[in-house]
Amino acid sequence: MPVGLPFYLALSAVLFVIGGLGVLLRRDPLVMVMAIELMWNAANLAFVAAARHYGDMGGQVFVFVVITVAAADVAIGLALTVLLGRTRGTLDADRLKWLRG
Amino acid sequence: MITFFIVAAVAVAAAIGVIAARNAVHSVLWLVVHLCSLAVLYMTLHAEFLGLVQILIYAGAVMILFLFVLSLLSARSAPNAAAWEQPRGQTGLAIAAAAVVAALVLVGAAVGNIAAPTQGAAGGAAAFGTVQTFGQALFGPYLLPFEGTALALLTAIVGAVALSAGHDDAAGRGLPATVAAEPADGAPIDVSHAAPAEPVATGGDR
Repeated sequence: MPVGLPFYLALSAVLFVIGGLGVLLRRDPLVMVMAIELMWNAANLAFVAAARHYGDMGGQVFVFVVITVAAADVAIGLALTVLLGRTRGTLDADRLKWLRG
Repeated sequence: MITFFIVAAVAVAAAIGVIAARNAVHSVLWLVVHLCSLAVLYMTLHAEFLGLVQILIYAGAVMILFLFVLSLLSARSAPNAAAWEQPRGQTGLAIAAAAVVAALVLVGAAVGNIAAPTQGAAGGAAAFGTVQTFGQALFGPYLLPFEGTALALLTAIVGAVALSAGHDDAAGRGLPATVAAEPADGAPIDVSHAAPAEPVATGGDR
């Protein structure tokens, strides 16, 4: 018996919330970027499950786009992190607050 | 059914490991486990190409990027990381907000009115999700978003190079060093240009 769409949506929600908790609780920008990756992947899982459910390839194509954008996001985020660590000497996200508007 | 629950348990455990590991390298390794378990789920959902892309690009290339940055930064940030990673009173609020979001989505998934599977999921199940149909969708109706990803990657490349290349000159050694280095670089060029100029001039005399 194949697993239905609600199971995948529930798993996706749990993974998304875990990623959100990581962003809120951790203060290392690297770990925060990894938690954002968890959230990207939770959304991807929902897309793939919905694509399977409805028999529409659009969901899979969008996941492909999301993976590409996430790779670009990681490249920029890690470059910023390296820059912050070198110029400021700390990676504590609570002390890197001069970017606040 | 059994496969789903086993892999889902692995995925959730690995996700918790990512945000709970004190060492950032352990977080990366947990993230690799998480991404591979999601790739297994993609395969069971007839998204074979996405599963392979997930393993090759995410668990391969992107995680290598993380490890490189970790090895670049760990010498500076590792010794005092344990001190500033202590929670500062936001834990309760964060868990409450996460619980609200989880409850909303879980209730929505449980009681929500999810439309019945269309005939494509049942009728076209044989061809659904193959690399051929994926490519036909990607280069057919979804060609414009595909080109947009190329633009996004180009932007990311330029941005990453600009961020990391501008650092060494302006911020790393300080601005006066680069200002002082400019005439020092320019002076030998003038000499080297002047040196060939004289034989040419003498050749002109002959």
